Amino acid sequence: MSRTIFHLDMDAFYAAVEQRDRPELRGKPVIIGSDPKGGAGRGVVSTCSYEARRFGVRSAQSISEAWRLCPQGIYVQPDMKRYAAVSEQVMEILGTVTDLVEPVSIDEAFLDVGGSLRPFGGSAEALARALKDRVCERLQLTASVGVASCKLVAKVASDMRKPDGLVIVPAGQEAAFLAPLPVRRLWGVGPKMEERLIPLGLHTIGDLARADPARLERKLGTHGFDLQKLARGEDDRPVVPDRGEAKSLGAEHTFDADVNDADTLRRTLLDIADHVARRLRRHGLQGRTVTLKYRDEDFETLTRAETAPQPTDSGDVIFAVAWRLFQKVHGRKRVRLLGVTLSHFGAVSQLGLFAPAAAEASAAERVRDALAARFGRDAVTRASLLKSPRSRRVGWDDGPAAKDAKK
Amino acid sequence: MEFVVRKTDLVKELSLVQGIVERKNSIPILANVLLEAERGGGLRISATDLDVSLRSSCPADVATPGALTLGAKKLFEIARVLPDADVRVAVGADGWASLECERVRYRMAGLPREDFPALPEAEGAAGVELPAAPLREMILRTAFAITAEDARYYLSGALLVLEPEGCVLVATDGHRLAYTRAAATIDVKEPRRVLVPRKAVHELARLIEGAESVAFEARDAHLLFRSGGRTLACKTIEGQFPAFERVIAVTGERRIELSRDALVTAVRRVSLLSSERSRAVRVGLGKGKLELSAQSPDQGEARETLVVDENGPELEIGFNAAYLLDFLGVVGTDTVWLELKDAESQGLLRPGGEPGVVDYRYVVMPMRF
Repeated sequence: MSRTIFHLDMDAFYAAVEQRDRPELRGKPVIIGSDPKGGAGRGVVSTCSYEARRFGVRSAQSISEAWRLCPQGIYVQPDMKRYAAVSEQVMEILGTVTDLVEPVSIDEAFLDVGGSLRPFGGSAEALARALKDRVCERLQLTASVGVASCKLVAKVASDMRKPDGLVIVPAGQEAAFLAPLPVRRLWGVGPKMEERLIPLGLHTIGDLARADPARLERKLGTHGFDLQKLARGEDDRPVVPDRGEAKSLGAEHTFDADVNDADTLRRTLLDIADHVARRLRRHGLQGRTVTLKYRDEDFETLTRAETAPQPTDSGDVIFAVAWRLFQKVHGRKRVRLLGVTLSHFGAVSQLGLFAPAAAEASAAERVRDALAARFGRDAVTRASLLKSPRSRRVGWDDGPAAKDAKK
Repeated sequence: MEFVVRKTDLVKELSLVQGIVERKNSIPILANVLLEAERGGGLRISATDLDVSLRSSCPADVATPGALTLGAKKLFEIARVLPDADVRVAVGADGWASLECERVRYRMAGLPREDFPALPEAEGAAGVELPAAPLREMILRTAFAITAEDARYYLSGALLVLEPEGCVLVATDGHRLAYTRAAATIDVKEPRRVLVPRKAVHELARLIEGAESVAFEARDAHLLFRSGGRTLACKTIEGQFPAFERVIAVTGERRIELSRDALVTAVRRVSLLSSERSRAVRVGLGKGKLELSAQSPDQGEARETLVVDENGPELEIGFNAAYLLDFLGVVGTDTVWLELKDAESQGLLRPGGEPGVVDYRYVVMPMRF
């Protein structure tokens, strides 16, 4: 039986929340991201208002590039707590339509509305309009909705007529709908994959759908087969409702200037590991998988992960793994960004006989937590971090991974 | 080289060295056994994997002394199917070996003895006598707990402690620990501790099966065990075995006696629905019953209750089912004691009934849910 899936995506979410709450920003190019520092800033654009997009500003662009394109823009640093609170209100409204809501990130979600169409005379369009209206009415924010028989097509559709869009792809039309779009629009095709597809003459999703499967497999491996299935609009992944549990927790830091000094890199990684560990402990979580995010001076981004048999919330343990991963990826290039994420929470763990607490935070780390809670984060710190006056100024970007972490 | 040996003697000695020869080996000579026909009569058979080696011998009529090496596995297969009679082995000028037994003839290609590594030799009567039967029982009750992880090399063997009044064998993988001790008079002035590698532990159990005693000697970073004309040698493991004394000294506050069969069956039944990766089962104790349960998020849950003579407050603790079954499989008594303290502390398992020759304790750390 054909399913009815909605993909709801809030329009320019962070910027829209700012414009809603600060009327003086309305109608102006608003850019949410790190401090541009007059064009010398080192972070990236998180989101920008549609007014800013007219200047060529895009999310994930470096903030200094945005500054160059749009110096008259209003640059705002993100207030994640406020956005998360609004996000919760959005998800709550979605929950009134169906229990099958799968948040993808802070500002988008999939809904399987198959069981909710009856009051709307079976019309997905009527339900989608009602949902958009409800969000707009309650939150004064607009959302774009894509409607299709599968997640992939619904997601592509929601992006077609932003902002405040509604695109419905009737069952049976999925492949035809996707065909003229560039391959880049396909879920799972990033810049790297695009670079491999273009030389094969595969420019549109339709090209990919029609390509000889044997050739695809030869060129791309079994992944090629999966991609082709998606290109044909075949995607049977279910909408998996969120159980309100964090899936990962992380933090990252962008250096003010690209760094190659081993000592600085090491100390920064230690500081990030400590920060992540502290947040894990605050949430009562222990994770088994440590993922390192590494971006070099050419903006090339690598991630490497390692899974340990024991879950941990110890900064020492997290740092040890992250440092090992770092040494594997770090070459001669200077480093722009480092990040550490912990995931794989809540697994049953086997306790050890001789070092039962090795993977757990040491008593010292817990004491430090207690002191930090009373006297602030820097009340007690590692001696190795004290050496660096700069570490005091390290600003934390809780990173995209933190979006998943609720309570 | 030429000698005559009884088929049954040859089969027996060859079967003993099979465990030493590694199936996968990049050095061809290590797949062979060394056969040495000695001047005064007698055949010596040796095998090695460079870490563990075994030399054995059996009676033989030697016409011409000499030596050669032959493929251990193939020679064993051949010897087993020969008629039950005398086997004549000779080496021709071309280096090929011929085996003749009644009307059966084989010709096999060998490798020269010069390629075979030198093996550590035992020194005459040196060594400490250990009682074989208790030692074998101790090995069978501990060897399974030796870690299979190469990374923790200091746990990749069993710790043998020789004291004037007894010997101790302990093995652990860091999650559970098996401890055995047998009272015996042993000719050492002060306690000696050696780490015996996993493979040597298993081979030692085979070596001393049915024997009266075994002589132990440590020399040049090697351990040598001699029994019934055979010598097992291995390299020692350099490393600090963890302080096991602290672990086994802790006794639980809650103590219950259980039928071994009932517990084995219950653990097997319940663990069918434990998550495949963790194999965790919950053990709930309270009000005259012990409840075992398991659940896996995608498959369901299982539960079985055993009646016990204990009425303390409720306690729930998780264990890896495989760890429990390992102990229950070798304990060899009709009942077992289970001692528990709390959900975070180790559980202790011991054989029930009358105390045997060997003091056996098995400590398992719980799983946290």
